[in-house]
Amino acid sequence: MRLVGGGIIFLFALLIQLKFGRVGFGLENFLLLSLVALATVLRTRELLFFILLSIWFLNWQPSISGELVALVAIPFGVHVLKDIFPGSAFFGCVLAAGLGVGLWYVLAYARVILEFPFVFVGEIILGILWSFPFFVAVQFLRPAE
Amino acid sequence: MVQKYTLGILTLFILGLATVEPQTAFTLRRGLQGSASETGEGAAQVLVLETQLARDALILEQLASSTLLGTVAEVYSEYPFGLKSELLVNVGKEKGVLVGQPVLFRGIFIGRVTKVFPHFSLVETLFDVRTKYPVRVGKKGVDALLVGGGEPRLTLVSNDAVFEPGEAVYAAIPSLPYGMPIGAVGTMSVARDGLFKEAQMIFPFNPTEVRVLRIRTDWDPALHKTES
Repeated sequence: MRLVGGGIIFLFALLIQLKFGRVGFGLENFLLLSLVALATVLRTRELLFFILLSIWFLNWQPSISGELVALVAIPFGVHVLKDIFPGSAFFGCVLAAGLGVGLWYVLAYARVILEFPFVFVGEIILGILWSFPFFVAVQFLRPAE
Repeated sequence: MVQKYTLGILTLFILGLATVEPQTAFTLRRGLQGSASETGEGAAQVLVLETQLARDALILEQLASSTLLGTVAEVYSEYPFGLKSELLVNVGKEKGVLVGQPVLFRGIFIGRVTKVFPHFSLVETLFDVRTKYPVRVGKKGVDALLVGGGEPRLTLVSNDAVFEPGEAVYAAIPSLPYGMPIGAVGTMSVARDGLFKEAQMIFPFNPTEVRVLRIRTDWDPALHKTES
């Protein structure tokens, strides 16, 4: 059930990113945000499946790129560190999404950050805002305690 | 237990697809993204002719951007995120593609090859924020710097430079063939610092409709290197 729920969230993010991912406004990181949110509730193998699915779907060239490394490393990082994030869901979301988008830019667009620092800061803020629906949605996937 | 095995099989299936048949994802993605066509080939031809006229006025060398030169390349997939604009095309080293070769769409310069694989090449287009190309504008050959991005624009145009919206913009890039048509001048404005003029660019095509390109494989970038 959790896998199906995660799949719906993932597909929603994928479609949004495919349609609007190139217009900016933080939408290019929609898939990353959904993976970061899912990383807080899914098991490792379930997360691995979604990460692999996104890499297969988004890869656009026959070599390894910074973007795809980021797409693997950031959700896994959040998954490993999720217990370290403070208990407050709100603070956890902000930290995970903010760090996720920030790290994404460092890994994928290091050159661009220096040239467009305002875009970088803006994307982090937008990433945090866009991440809230995902973090709310994944709460329904948490196993009952 | 069943779920665990199902997930394992699905993961292996995706891994297999990603390794053996990556083009299935390219096709699926293109289908989901869709494409739009707003301007036709006619506008591109007009631009090619306008550029030719502009260059003839300057009595420069013969236009080097014949659309018949080079190797036809089909777009396989494109960069799926924002900011960058890269296209993967279906010809590579085996067809003589080299890093740095110019790439044309309907005779219009659209970018250059940045990576070459045995059967594929990666093209960085003008719609990538990292691109900056020196260009010339109109019949007077005014110098400008074309800055790439979602909406490429002409920058560093001298305040006393004279040209009108609609005039042709063509390449003056030291390592690439001189005079390749790029686009036309759009709305003009004064730069924020007040020292230069800027202008939007008009392209005779919609970037989303780019599917077949021509790589100038006849051009050897090593012979035209400007950096040591």
